[in-house]
Amino acid sequence: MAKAIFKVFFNIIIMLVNIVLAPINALVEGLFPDFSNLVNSFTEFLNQFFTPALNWFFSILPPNCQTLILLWLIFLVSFITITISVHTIMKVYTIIKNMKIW
Amino acid sequence: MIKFIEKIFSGLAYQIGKFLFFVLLALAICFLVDKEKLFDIIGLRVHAATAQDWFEFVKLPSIAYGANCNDTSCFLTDVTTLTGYGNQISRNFYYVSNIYTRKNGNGMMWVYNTDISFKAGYLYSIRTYMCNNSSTEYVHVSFTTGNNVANTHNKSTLPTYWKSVATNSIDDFIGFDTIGEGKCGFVTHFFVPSVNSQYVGVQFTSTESVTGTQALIGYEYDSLGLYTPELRNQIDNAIQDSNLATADDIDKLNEEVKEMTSEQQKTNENLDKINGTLTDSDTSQNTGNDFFDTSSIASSDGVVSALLTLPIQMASKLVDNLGDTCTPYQMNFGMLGKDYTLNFPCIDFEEYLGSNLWHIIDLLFCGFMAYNIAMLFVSIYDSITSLQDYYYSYIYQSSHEEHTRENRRARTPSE
Repeated sequence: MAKAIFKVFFNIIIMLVNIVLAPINALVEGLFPDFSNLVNSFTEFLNQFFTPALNWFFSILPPNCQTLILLWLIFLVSFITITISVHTIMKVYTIIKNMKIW
Repeated sequence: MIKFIEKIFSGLAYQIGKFLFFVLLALAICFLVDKEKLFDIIGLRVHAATAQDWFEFVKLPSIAYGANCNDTSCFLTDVTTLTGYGNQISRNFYYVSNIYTRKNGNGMMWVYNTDISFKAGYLYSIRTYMCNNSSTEYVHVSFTTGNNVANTHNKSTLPTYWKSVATNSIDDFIGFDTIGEGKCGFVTHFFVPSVNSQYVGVQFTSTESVTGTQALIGYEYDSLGLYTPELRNQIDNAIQDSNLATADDIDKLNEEVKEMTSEQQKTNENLDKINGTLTDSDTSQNTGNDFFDTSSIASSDGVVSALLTLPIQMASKLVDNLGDTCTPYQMNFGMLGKDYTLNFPCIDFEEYLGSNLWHIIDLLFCGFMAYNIAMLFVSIYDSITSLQDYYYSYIYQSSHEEHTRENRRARTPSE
């Protein structure tokens, strides 16, 4: 149940970020070379290296504590993601707004 | 950026430090409560014997003596005095150069004085390797057993089991097999002695009387590990003298096997669940764009989105992989041209600490984490209501702001 709630929560955040960043993504993809491979390999490396270690770490914790730490981690990660996203979006829009081509 | 990483890691180090403090506290409590179990946890204990040792010990040793008989008399002596009847090549391998076999007679007999006692009522296996060099005659191989303890014998003084060979009728007749002309082969039989005995006999006969047949006879036997209380007591007594594992260890081993089976079942159930999830995911043709779909999370559409949602992707992976069963972690790394692997085995603290103590630790951790989560919500609420982003300013400070602050500080007269 907790996992399902977390998944819904993640999906909502990612959907919001995707929607808000759609023009910026399109702009970056249009102006710059394709970074997707680089980003994917970086993401894959992080997942391969850190996720099993975190899994092992969580598996030795008591069961209730696992859920609470996960909850705390997810809220923190989500909040930081939203915060950084908002700031990034604002900065990028400021840059775009200040471009004289408009 | 560097400051951002520094802040993140300093916060992380603080949290890890707090966690390690609690772990050390738990271990200290465990040490005070049960020092022996703590040694088990940190691996200081070396077990005296493994299950394999026990089974190796159960395997019985080979023979030490042999004897030979002809149709009129039987010579049961030490093999070193077996002139003309056979030579011991190795501890359990003999060469017999002059086998005299006779139709319906006793033929040649070997009696082995074994270095163990065959207990009545237990199952054993016996095996002989034989080469029949006769080009014309089959050689029949049969086994007998009985309680013959004297050093020299002739046929008339042999006990009843020995005479039974001719009639092939009573319980102690073990088996019978045939080796063809010019062939070698194993002859294996199972037997259950009706009386306690230390002697096993092998008899060779043929369909027609043949003299001068040569044979190589290898000989070994094993207990088949038939489990009875009497056998167990016997083995326990022997094992106790040898400082190996005892019957209690076998009970523990059985318990461990049961636990392993139970864990295996749990693992299988989890695998079934995972398989079920995979099947559902495939059949529904999920595109990952529905945020109410709990089987997977949505994918990021672009580079900027992917970078920004990276922590969420990682957290999602963590939620996915987190299960009831522990997965051992292997960290591979290379150093000085060599590959190394660090193994982090699964540790079940509940087993070592006991469920009561483990639940207390669980409660303490939960209290600590509940406090952290509450404080997180307070800071988020504070951050939102005051329209100031404390978290962002905590983890990131632009060089422009820093420069401005330093200038302001420089302009302010010191007190």
